[in-house]
Amino acid sequence: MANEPKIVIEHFHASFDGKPVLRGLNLQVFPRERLALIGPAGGGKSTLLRSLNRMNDLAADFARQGRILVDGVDILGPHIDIALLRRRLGMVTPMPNPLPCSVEENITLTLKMAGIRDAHRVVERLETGLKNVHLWEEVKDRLAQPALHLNNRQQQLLCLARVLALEPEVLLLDKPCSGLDPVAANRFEDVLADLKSRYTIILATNDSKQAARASDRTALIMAGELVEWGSTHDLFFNPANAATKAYITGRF
Amino acid sequence: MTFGETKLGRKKRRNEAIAKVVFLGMALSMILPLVLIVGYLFHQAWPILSLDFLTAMPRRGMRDGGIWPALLGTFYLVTISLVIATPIGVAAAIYLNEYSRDNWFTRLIHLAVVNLAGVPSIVHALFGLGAFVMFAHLGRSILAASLTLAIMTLPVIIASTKEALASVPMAFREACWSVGATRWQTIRGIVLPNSISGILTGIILQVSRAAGETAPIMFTGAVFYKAIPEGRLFAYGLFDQCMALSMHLFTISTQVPEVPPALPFGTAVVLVMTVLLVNAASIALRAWLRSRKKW
Repeated sequence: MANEPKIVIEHFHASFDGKPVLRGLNLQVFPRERLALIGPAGGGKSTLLRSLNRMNDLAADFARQGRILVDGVDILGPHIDIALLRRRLGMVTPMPNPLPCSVEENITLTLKMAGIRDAHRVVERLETGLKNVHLWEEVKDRLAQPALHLNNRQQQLLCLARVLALEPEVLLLDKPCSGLDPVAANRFEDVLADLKSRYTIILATNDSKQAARASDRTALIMAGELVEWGSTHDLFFNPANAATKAYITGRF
Repeated sequence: MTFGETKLGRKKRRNEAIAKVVFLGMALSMILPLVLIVGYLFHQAWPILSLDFLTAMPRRGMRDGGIWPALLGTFYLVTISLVIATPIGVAAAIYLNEYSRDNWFTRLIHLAVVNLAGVPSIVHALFGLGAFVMFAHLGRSILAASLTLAIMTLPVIIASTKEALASVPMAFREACWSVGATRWQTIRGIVLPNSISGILTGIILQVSRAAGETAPIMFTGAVFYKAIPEGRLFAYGLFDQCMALSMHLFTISTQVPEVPPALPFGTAVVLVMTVLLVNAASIALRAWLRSRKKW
């Protein structure tokens, strides 16, 4: 693991309509590691992810304090190209959110909006994007069909492919399997396993077992505060904090 | 445990039947007047209806002949007013629905739009007379009348466009933004293609309103009679005065003595059929656009 962190979160406070959601959070994410965020629902995991790509800024009642550095640059500061930020830190949301167009257009339109118009590159990225998420064989004959006619798992994988086609550096996965049945969730995790060590991955999940399976490091966030943060193995087998032990054993 | 009908159950069933009949009756009572009106108009106008009626000039002091200058005038007024009102209305609705945040300023704009939509057409007419005919020195002209009609239809176009935009689920926009699309890219790529049927329907419905109103144009550009070459499409200039169907109907029904009754009824048939045809076209267009929708 490289020593220079990819993302540094410093004293980060966030609130909606005056109600604090994150309270002075400090956390580091290292390049190409897989960090799992676990903790009770409503604890601030999603808010943290959505602060990283500044999707929270779209809410009128959102307020924040503190710093978030990506490659040493404060992404909350002025003069940040938010469109570029969101392409470099690609997000997958809890429920699949394909665009209301064809399977193919979901990726090609995204690329076009990112300024990639060269037809050859678009086709190439469409195919590699879908292959990266093991979806190519299933959908290669129905690329022109509406994406919203795919099943849930295929839609969620398409959303991941759409993000991958933009060649991001960081993947922000916000409970990506919460709308999937266990079999589909397993297949989604298989895809994640293939992506490991190519991207920096932050995975928020309500499923502690998923965190144990699919991460190198885990951070437990409760009520907007970081309770414990360490290697996934240590956190699950040798938790330092009583609250961590209670949460991972399901007695919280 | 039995499943036989109870007294309460019988009562509920009876009320259900009554309610259904009452609501059906109300719905049918909406259709009946329309059928009667159109049927009566056609019946009265039958002797005069011909292609010649559409393309001929009125003759013998408007007691004979056709309605060509009025038909063409209405076409000019409606087209020009919508060409003016559509881009402004759609752009304003896009701002209100896609860009503005909820604050006192946007609430003020909403209030203005709602109130403008409720202003009587005769007030629009006086405004048009003051603003366009006199202040802007456009004189009584097609341009001044079209601008007045545009002002009248604008708030409704804004409201209907805004509603069409708002019907596109927020999740589609967020999906776009999260992959780095700007607001305008999202609007162009996702929001407009998915709301275009609703937007067009709202605009087309204003055709019938602009074609039907008499008050806004009678002070600002429409005249009783204007001689133009028969059958020529570009017979009017922007600064000419013109005839219009609604105005013509008013004129020959109330201002000219001894007009054969078939003449005003024929004019009314053309006006009503134009409106119905435009509405039918909008329904067909909407159905076609819906069928291409991907969700």
